[in-house]
Amino acid sequence: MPFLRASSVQGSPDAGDRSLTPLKRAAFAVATITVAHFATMQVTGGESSAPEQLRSITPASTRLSVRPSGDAPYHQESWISPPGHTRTVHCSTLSTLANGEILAVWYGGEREGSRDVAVYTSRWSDPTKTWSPPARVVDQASAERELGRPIKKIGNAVVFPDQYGTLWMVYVSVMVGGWSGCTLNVKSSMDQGLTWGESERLNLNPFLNLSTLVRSKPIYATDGRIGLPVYHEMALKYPQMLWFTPAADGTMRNYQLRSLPTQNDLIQPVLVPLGQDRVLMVLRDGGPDRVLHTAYSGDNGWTWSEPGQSNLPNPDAAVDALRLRDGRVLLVYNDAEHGRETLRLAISNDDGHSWNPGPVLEHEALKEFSYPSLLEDATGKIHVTYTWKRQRIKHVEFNLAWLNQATPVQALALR
Amino acid sequence: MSDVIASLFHPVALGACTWLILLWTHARISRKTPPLAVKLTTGLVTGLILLLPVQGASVGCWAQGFHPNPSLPGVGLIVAALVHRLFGLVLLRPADLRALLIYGAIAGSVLYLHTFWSSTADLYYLGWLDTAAIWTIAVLSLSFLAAGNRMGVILLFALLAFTFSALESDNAWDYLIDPITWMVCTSLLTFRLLRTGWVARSSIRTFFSPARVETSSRFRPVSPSLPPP
Repeated sequence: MPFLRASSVQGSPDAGDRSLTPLKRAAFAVATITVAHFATMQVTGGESSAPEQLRSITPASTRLSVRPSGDAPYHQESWISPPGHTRTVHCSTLSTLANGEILAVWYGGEREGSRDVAVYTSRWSDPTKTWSPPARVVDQASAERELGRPIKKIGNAVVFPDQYGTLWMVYVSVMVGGWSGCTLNVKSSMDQGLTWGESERLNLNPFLNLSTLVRSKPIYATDGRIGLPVYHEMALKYPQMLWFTPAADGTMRNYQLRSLPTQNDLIQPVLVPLGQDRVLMVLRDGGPDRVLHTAYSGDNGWTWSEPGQSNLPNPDAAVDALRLRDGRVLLVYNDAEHGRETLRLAISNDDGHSWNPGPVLEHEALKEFSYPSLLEDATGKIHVTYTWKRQRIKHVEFNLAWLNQATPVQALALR
Repeated sequence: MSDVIASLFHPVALGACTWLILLWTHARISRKTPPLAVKLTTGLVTGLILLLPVQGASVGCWAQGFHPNPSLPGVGLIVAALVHRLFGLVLLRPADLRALLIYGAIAGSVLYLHTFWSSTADLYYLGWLDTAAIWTIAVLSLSFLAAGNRMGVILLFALLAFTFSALESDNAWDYLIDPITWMVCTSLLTFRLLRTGWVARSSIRTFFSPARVETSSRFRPVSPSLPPP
């Protein structure tokens, strides 16, 4: 490498300034090797292999103590956010808690992206069939204080438990610009979401740590790792997997981000473990195709196939999916190429290769029903929450009998 | 210890950068070497600027929010230039500086632009594979040291910083390159290449045109050294 040597600059004004003497070179080389050796001994080691197996995090206290939902069709609707609580609400997600309750999280404020937006939680008590009053978890001011840096706005949040019973919240914040300038932050709760620890910023992107967003629930590996689907939106749009190991004290260890090989404009990945190391990923289409995409992993979410088009439309809107106890995959989506006026269920009997449209949950012209979240509770009942006309978060609860009863023909008639 | 280093690293790097900008600005305006009083005053002003509140947060806080992970080559460049302006010491010789610029331009282009031409490569992920990352930095450092280049010392400091988690990031790439350093290196390198090319073309023209020999003296050979204090 002649350009690196001092001899290459002979004739320049500093040519007399000699290069490192052999003794100095040797000393620095020894120092380098010593530091590298010391550092190697210090590292706790980022995992660089695929998880051997996935598992589900089911609350131990509810696993055996509850009876499964009956065969009679069951369907009930309720509201999570009270009327007029905030002017607009959006992006709800659900999580089960160790005591069998369900926690919903969403954000609300004057409008999406305004400075007064806060992330709220509410818990569902199945015996009383009621949602608790919204609890404010984090807002722009508290995020700014906790993260020690200016924050313009906050947005999408997801909650999920780990194997220690710690509840995690990952939410996005923006310093300047729009949602593509997001960074991810994490909070943890040791008391099932009653109180939360300080926010911590995750460094996930090489370019000023910009543009990593979150929307969906994670998958769990038996080695303790959690795989959270996230996505990138700046310049190129593509899905990513955030792998991290939670510690028993509610801190995050060894997180790393893996970008997925995919074409542009596919975001908001949703993961569905299919068993036998296979995982289905469903992707929102922000491109011109306006078709829901699916990809598959054969090694528990570590590597992924190229996404392919499904037989369902997608109007550049979020979806959610889960695997039912009978092995079918349930999807909730906006059934149109444009607009979020129709929110509908779909069922797949072949692990997401093809979808059969099911009952319509909402339909009204020029209104928005979007950003659904799905959860199956310990009794086998299915819960869906979604943004209702941007005014409220709605909750729909049903069982498999109701789902099976609602025929696609009836549903199609509603379109 | 890591926490102390991490809390000090960013303010020191930012302070050095701001101080350097103030000294450079003074040099551009006054066109002479700043006396000791000016050096001290600009140092004081640097502290005040970083503490200046803007929309509820200090300038330093804003800067750390925007640019949380200043890489060691970038900080090395700033510190070398600042030391040169303050004390007249040359920490980076022309060959070191040239190596740093080429390294910054290549490393940044590969890391930040690779997703545009390859949808399968995931280079940033490799920075989280700690053992591999540590020895990659070590080998890079040893390569530069073998050539007698002080870029190897900068990379040794990068390795030390990575060991003590001096940055917010746990990714080794962030210790080796950052977007600002990449842009500065690429711009300076491009500027130098263009100027060199311009001088070379002018030399050829003047060689064939005796009438322009006198005027060509203004095209002095480019000195790759840092500007004089």
